[in-house]
Amino acid sequence: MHDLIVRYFNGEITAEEKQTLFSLMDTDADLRKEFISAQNLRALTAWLPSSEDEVFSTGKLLSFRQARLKKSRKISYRHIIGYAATICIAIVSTWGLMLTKSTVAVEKEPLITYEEFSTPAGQRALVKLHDGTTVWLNARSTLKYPSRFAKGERKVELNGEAFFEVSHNEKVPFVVSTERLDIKVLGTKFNVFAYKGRNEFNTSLLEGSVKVYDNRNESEAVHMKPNERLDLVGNKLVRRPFSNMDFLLWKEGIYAFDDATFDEIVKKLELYYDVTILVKNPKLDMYKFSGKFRQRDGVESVLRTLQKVRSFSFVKDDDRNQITIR
Amino acid sequence: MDNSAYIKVDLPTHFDKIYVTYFARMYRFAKEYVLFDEDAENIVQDVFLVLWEKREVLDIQISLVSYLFSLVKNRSLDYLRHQVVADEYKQELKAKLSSLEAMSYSVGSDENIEHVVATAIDKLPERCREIFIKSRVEGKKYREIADELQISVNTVENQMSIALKRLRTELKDYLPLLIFLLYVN
Repeated sequence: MHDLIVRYFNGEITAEEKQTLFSLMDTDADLRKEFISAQNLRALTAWLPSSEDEVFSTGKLLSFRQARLKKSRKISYRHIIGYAATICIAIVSTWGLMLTKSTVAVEKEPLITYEEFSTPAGQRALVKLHDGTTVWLNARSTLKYPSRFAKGERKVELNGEAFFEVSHNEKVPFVVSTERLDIKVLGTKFNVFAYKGRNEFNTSLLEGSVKVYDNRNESEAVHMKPNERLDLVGNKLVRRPFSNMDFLLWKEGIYAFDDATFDEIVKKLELYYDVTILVKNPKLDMYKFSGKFRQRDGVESVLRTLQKVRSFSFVKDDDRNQITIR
Repeated sequence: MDNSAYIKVDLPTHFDKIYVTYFARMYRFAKEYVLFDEDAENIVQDVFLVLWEKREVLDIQISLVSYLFSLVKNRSLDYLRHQVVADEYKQELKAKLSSLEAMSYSVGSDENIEHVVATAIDKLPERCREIFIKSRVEGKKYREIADELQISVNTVENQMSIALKRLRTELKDYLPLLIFLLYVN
């Protein structure tokens, strides 16, 4: 390892040497790589437990509790305010929440701020909203909702797939807004598949009633009945009944495919696991597959299982985050 | 806590235990990237504040360590991206930011980071592992390690560089992938 990097991480480097090191890194790609590698390696080893951890952490816990009790949210303001609105995983945007709370106390008209909840690839999450509505979010989905609902309407924005169990309130309809279509309900259970930038939208109703409409024109709404599924095909909404509930198993962490083409499966895997899959084996398109897979086993496990039915090979290129199937 | 320590089980009940188990590790991690220890502490306290505020509603189906790791990583990234610092720190900050951005471990993987690193270290030759642990886990200086083991500082340095080299190979999946792209201004 470069001497300066060693000295830097051992805390023995002088200010001048430091400057030299970082200037060298600007032009020397190998040195940069070495630094980054050493830096991240050190950080990873920080996760190993150490014998003094507990004593140290307990001390901090006490001050954490005091800070919490004093409601001194100020301690984090300096940092929180600077944070970007999009924090990528399941971090509910805290500053919005905190800002709201403190504003309530001072003025009397609370601001409505938005909170965002996102799930990473290969994961899912359950979000409970303040009105009692529960929302299951599938992988790579984002739910945006106000810190408190406005008077006449409970509106949330969805990018991705979610299962809603809306708490009943006749006076205040619940609206799920997606890229193209909105869904309005009073209190029901339904699934929505609406990832941004994909020409695919569908919603399936389990209980109650909902209406679906283009978000620019509510007057031409389609009303759905239980056990009906609505697909957006081109610009038309196509209605069909469903009886098999397996497509909802994602809530339980299971991806189910029923008589699906290889291409359909690959597309879903790409979406849920955020990976590119190249299929260079045309034969596979001739077959259909049915099966259930555990989400947390990952994409490679799904492919390995499919290999048992039809023979094909696959290689994963981690650098490109790409799987090639032959 | 192992891989099966999912948050949904018991965040409100076990909040304190989670705090005590992970605070120091998260703090060490953040300290690697932010320039001042005080900021690292604030970042980790903020993470726990989020966790506390949301303890009743959070129900995330990933391992706890993965979740905490992402929280502290993302907070640190935001901190680095929004720091306005004196010129003398600019280059250092840039190097830190590039490193953290290249860190490829994500919550998408269900592996326990602690387990991954421990396994990699276990694979080191015995002497090498001993020295590495004294240095990185126990936080001892090379001089102290040399005195303790009655070897030369040079030997400690050599063993450390072997350890780092091997660990880098073992942990390559978690170390930088896109270095060349990321460092471009």
